Amino acid sequence: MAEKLYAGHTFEETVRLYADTVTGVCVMRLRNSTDAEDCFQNVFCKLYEKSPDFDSDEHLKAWLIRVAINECVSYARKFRMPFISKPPEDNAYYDNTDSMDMSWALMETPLKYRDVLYLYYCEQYKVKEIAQILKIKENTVKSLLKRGREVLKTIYGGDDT
Amino acid sequence: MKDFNFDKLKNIKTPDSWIENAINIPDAQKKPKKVIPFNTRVVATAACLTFCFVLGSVMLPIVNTDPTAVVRPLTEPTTENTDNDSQNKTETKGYSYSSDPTLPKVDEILPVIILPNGETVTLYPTNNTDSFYSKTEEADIDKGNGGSHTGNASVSKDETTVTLATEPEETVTVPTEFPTEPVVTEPTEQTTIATTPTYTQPVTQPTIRPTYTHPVTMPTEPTFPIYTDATEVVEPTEPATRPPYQTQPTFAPTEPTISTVPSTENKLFKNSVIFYPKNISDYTNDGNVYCHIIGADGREYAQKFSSAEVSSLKSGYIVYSPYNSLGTLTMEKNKYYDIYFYTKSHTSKTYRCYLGANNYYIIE
Repeated sequence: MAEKLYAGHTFEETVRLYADTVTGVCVMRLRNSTDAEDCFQNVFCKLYEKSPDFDSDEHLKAWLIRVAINECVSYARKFRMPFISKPPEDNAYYDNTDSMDMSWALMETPLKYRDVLYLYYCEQYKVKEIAQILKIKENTVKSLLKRGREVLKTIYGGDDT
Repeated sequence: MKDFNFDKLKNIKTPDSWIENAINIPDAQKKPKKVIPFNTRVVATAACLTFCFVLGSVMLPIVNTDPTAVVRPLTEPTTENTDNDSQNKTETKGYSYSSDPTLPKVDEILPVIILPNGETVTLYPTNNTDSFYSKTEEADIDKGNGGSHTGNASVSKDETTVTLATEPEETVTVPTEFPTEPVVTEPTEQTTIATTPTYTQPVTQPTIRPTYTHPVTMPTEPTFPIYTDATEVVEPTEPATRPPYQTQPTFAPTEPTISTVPSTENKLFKNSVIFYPKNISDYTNDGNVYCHIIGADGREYAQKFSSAEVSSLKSGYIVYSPYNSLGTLTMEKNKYYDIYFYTKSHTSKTYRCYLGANNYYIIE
């Protein structure tokens, strides 16, 4: 039986290609490595079970981000996860201290800004694409980006360069 | 202050273990799933069906709408239980067992015996105490108010005078075991006067009549004026004695003998007694009756009877046929006997029977 392809990629290729994207969404949302790993696995389990047809890599990536967000929402709702203000102790997925600090600052921002900031700055999505993925208006995305930056500055405590 | 640069916001690296686990998802999915024989829906459906079955089993006897039930509510008086019951003449309406196609006909369930001469005779249930019943129901009715005459339209027995041919000390024991070769003899004159009813059963096939072999010396027939308005002499009539829809009908013995009262208890009753309401105005019945009989000495002679043992429930009286009931009931003459019917609501209905000058036994 021929292996299922996802936008021209095998399942393993898809996992390796978009693992960081899914991990980022899960970590930013849940702020806990253990919970993020569960959601990470659930996202790819759904990918394998559903096996939807994707038009392109962007379509596949957007689908994974959307499913990851939904999984995190369901996970947090299911386990009634408390708000954790301290920075994550597991530093395995940070390149360096600066990245960790920035990521910590991003995770400290309110949830409504977090997704937009992460997709805009980490995943390099444009406003229009973010609006499509999050299913909100572009102007809303712009507003969230503007306010999110200010919040992030306040949390991070640095100067805008 | 730290320098703030959004370019520092890099992608988060995924641990290798996460990737390895995700890559192994297809292998894990390919493993055969454990087959669950009963899923939630199947179990829920089975539980629902079981519950409905149990509920129906519990509720059906309570509702008891079975038309074959022996005891009918007053709103559905039966008329099939008596062959020649003069008290049923006014009850032309009501439920008719004979019209029920689901019930077997009497002829279909009656046994047939072969006489020594080769003749085949169908046995019909008879009652060797017909005359007694007639006398009892016609003559002795206690209205439940200490013997005072209260009047009763449904019974209408209080203005009768019955001539009874009685032997004060005579006791008639009704055997219950049906003889294998019944002897059909012509009743003697003496016994005919005393005990043989004058009614004729509306049957076309021969019926084995009880015959008393003992010559009984019967006194002159005393007259018992009952209450104050007794004006006429009523011939004894047959009360409701044969429940037509007993699956195992009990037949009258072919050779009744006069004997002493047996003391053995917990045997099957075979005969019937008619009870009249102690207080007619209070008489209601929902068809679910249980009764026991309390004798003149205050002792309960029988255990609680079910409704199936009451052959018919009329508007004014009850014909009590304790078929297949265990126990011994000895009813002595000139005494009142009360029968209490307990309904489901624990309300009791009192009926009273007076046996007049005859002793009567529901024995075996």
